[in-house]
Order: sequence, then C-alpha cells, then structure tokens
Amino acid sequence: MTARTTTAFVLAAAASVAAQQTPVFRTSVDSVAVDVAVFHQGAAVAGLTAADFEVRDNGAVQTLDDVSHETLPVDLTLVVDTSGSMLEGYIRVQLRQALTEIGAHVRQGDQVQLVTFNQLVVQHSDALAAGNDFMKALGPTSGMSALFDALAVSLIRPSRPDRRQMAIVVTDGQDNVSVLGGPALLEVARRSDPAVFVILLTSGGPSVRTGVILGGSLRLVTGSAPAAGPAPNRDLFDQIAAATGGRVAVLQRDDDLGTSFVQAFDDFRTSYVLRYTLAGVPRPGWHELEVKVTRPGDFTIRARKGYFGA
Amino acid sequence: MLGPRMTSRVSAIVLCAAALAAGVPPGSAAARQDRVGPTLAGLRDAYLHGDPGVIARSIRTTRDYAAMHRDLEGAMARWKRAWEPVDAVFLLDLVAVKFNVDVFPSDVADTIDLVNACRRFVTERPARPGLDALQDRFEVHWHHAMLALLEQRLLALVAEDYLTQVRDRIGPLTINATKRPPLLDPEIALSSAIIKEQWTTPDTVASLQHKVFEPLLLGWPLTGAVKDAYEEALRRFDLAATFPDTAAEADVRKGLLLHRTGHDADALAALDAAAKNAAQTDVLYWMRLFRGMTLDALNRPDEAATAYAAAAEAWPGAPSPAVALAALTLRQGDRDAAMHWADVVRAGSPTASDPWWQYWRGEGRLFPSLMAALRAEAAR
Repeated sequence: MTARTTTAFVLAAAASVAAQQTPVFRTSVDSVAVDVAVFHQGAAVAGLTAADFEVRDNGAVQTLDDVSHETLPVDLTLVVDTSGSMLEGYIRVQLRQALTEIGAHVRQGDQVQLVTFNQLVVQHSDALAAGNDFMKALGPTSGMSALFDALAVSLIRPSRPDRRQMAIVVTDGQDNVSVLGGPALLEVARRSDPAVFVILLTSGGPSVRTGVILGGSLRLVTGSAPAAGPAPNRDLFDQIAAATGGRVAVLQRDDDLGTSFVQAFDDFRTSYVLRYTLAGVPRPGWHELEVKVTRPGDFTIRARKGYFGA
Repeated sequence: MLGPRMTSRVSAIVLCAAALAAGVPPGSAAARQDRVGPTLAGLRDAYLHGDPGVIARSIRTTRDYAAMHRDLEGAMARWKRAWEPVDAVFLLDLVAVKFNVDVFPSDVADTIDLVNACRRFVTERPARPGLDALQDRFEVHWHHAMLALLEQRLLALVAEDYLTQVRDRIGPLTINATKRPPLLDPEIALSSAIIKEQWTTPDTVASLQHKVFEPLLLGWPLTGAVKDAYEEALRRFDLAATFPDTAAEADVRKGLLLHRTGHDADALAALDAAAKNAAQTDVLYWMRLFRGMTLDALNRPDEAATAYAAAAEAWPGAPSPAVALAALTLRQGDRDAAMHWADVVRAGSPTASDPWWQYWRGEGRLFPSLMAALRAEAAR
C-alpha cells in the first residue's frame, strides 16, 4: 500500500489449465480486495459466500468484510501487437471482429482501452465507440516490437477501489526493441493492478525456403524452414499471468481471436471479489496471498499471488 | 561523373529504363523490352545522368534477379577495363534497393551474392592500396557504406564475412597493430566492433536474424559463439576508442555491452569516459540512457532517474526514457510518478523517434548520408 489513501491493488489467483478466472484485489489504506475465480471440473462455481473462503495475507488469516460477484464495473485494456512479425490480414480482420464481440459483452460502466504497438506505443481513444474509425488509422503491421515496454505502460493505471482491472494482450511474443527486460516487466506486473491475460499467436504459417550464408566466401546454403515452435517468451508470460491472476492462451494464426477475447473477459467478470481489512501483519512490503475454498470439494482457484503494501 | 552530360550510349536501352522508371504498363512496347540486360544498362545510364531513384523505381518492376546477376557479371567485367568510382556507387545503390524490396529469405540470399560480386569489383580496382590516395579514400568510404548497410539489415554474419574478405586491405583489426594500413579507418574499426556486438544479442537481434537464418540458427551453438563475440567485440571497441572520431560511440557501446554482461562498475566507467566526448545527439542520448540502466543495476535509483531524465532531454519525445522512468518509479513506490511517465508514453506522438530503436542497426542509421557523400565523391 502506498501513502496515498486511495491506493488500490488488483490481485488474481492461479488456477487450472482449462477455463480460468481472474481475481482482483484492491486496497484503500487497510482495505484489501482480491479477485478470486473458483472452478470445479473446469466450470466456474457460483453461489459461494464469505464463509466458503479462507484468505491468508502473509500467513495471517483475514476476516472477510464482503464477497461480491459480477457487480463491479471492469476496466479492460486491450494491448495489440501490430509489429512486422504479425500477420496484417489476421490482425485487421480478427481485431475488427474481436472488438465487435467485446463491444457486445461490455456493460454500462465498463471501460475499454485499446493500445497498439510496434516500436511505438499508441493508445486509441474510445475504440468501441460507434463510428470510430481507428481501424483506418491503424496502418499496416510493420516495424519492430516493443512488447515489454508496451505492456508495462499499459498496466500502470490509476487504482480505483470501486472498479476491477484487466488487460488482454495479443502478440506473437517477440520483443526486439524494448528498453525493459523480462524481469523488469514482471516486476511492473506484480506491482500493478490489472490481471493479465495473454493471447499468444503461434507461427503456424506456411514454411518458406531459406537461404543462408556460411564460410569465408559468402557461400549460399539453402534449407527448409522448421516446424512452428513455442512462442518466444512463453515462460515469462506464464509467470506474469500467474502473478496477476490471468492466464495464457495459445492460438494458431487462423483461430478466432474474438472468442478468446470474450472468454477472457467473461472469465474475469464472473470471478469473486473478496474484501477484508488488513489485520495481523504490517502494511509495508510484499504481501503473499493464499486463498482457499473451505467448502468440501475439488476446487481450482485462481488469484493474484500477492501485492505490495507501502 | 554523375553530372548532366549525356553519353553516346543513350539509346533505346535508356528509353526502356526511363519507361520502366515512369511505370509504363505491361504490354507496351517499352515494357516488352523489360529484359534485365538492357534494363541494367539503362538503369546505369539514367543513374549516370543524376537520377539515383531510377534504380528503386525500376527494380520493383523488373524482378528477374537471376538474369540481372548474369548481366551484372558481364557488365562488371566490362566496367573493370575502365574502372570508375561511379560504377561502384551505382552497384551499392543497387544492393541497397534490392535489400529494401526483397522480402523472402531466398531473395535476400540472392542479394548477398550480389554483395560479394560488388566487393570484388571494388577491391579489384586498378590502383593498389597506398598508391592512389583518392582511390584509397573512396574505397574506405565504400566499404564503410556497405558495412553500414549490412549492419542496418542486421546481417552480422554476412558483415563479418565481408570484413574477413577485405581485411587484407583494411588491415588487421587488432589494437596492437603498430602500423595501421592505409585502408584502416575509424568508422570501419567501429563497424567491425558493432558487427561483433550484433552477435551478442540472442533476445533481440538474433531473433530478427532468425528469420533469415532460420534453419541454421536453430541448431547454432549460440552460447559459445555469443561468449566469443562478447570478448572480440570488447577488443574491437577498444580499438575504435583509440580514434577521436569514434571514441565516444565505441565507449558508449562498450558500456552497454559490459552492463548487459553484469559488469556494471566497468560499464559505468566506460560510459563516463564517453561522456567527455559525446557530441552527436544520438550518441549522447544513448550514453545517458545506458547510464540510467547501469546505475539502476547498481541500485542507485535516484541517479538512474536523473540519467533517464537527461536522456529524455537529449532526445525529446523518445519513449524509452519515459518507459524506464515509469518502471523505476513504480518500483520505488511512487505510483503517481509512474502513472505520469506511463501517460507520457501512451500519449506519445505517432511520429516520435527514438535512437534506441536504431541502436542495434549500428551505423546503418548513417547509410543515407554515407551514400550521399559517396555519390558526391564519385561525381567529382
């Protein structure tokens, strides 16, 4: 927690490989809010109350003041990679469709921000507004990728205890021009509010013949392109998602982006928000969070792993 | 030599090239002459008459590269009998345009073959190094421009190969050389260091190179190669730092290399040395940005913030210092400052530039000005 009286934190929980949810967590001085998604056999569990949860903050059991479900408005930041390594046709067609689908799912009070990036980070105002022509201004996919920088500055947002924050990132995972490294980005994510959902596009496109230069006389060697491998920086994004209570989804280039957007958005919205007044531990420093469901059963929980208190 | 005079070789060939340059539609009489041989000669003639842009306009239309290569071999054999610098400049412009229009790796490989042919054309000029000062100077500038082009394309492996092949002429790239050969030039010394530096970045440059060298890089023993490249790059930066003209950039790049390998105290010393000589704005910006990174790594966040702010002053509108400040201040617990800097980045101009984006492309950033200087020199 910071010295500011309105400091908020967003937390989210770790969870299953299948459908997941984002828990968010905010605080104002001593009040803390945690987003918690609960699943049973891959399906979201509804109807839980404060009596069904146990929250430990740096090991100290906390008394829940309130548990809410799908009531708070959501601040959604879409972060879309438009660098040269992304397929332009895919991005244009799928992004347009995905924004339409997201637009159909937002509720009154929700806010959607769109950030696109190559080496340059650009925030588009009111991307979902009727008649918005930002697709025309998007330009072709080109340039280098400052993925880490773009995601970092997209996550640093004002904390608002009365709202929940999430970010959805669409990228092939490649970064070649950020000033921040992976550890610095992870640190920003841990200290920021939004739960981070990452949609990684794999390079499942057609192979190309490749020429190579070797030896002392610029000889040419040709070879066939390898099969598509894992997305670059996959481990980093797994860590960021786990730390913030989001998740990573992997799409082939021809998969439907809109479905993934909506799934992540719905996952996040349907999670619980647990509130408690911090007790039994000092405020400053890193707070490790542990959330359990006390009701009998085999539950999978996703929640942010912790937060920083000032 | 690039002046407006017309040669006796003005012919249908020239007209064909002019037609191509003007975008004559396929099927027209001129377009039916879209054979590489006449087109190449026509391009050269148009180029000789002061229109470097004719290459770019025409190559986009004429993409029969195999035929072009055959014709180039013949043309260069003829030009060697009356060697003129303008032919070398024409060839370098041709290479640059082909790099810009080639998309597929196979095309890039084809262009690299052309690089090799052009190098032979230049190095086999009649005057031997040390006998003709003007030709020596021209050749130095030409090699520097070619290396800058290869750096710009992040073709470090090709550039290293290129250096190997011209090393007998430019001299050994060792700091202990007691007598520098006539073609060793500060900028070539710096280029040679940058080319090694480009091999040390598997997370950045190598990932771009991966596209071109995909099959080999997958099985490349990158760790050993990178380690060797680090050490050799440091040696070469030390050599480049002995020249006043390149000392600042060499020290700045050495500083980043040391920082990236965890030698932050040494990095800071190199960057401080660069601070005394940094005059170019982009080099000054890099020096300040890298000082910020290094001081941050040395757990001196307040000084790092000052350095980042100074970098922002050196190149207003560059987003990288603001990104670094956003992350730094957030880590310090100053969320208001972090949000300010994040807002600065998100609200940046769509036309903003940042020298950091060009850093890994080495002296490729100078290629346009190098070409302009070469053209002017050839025209004298």
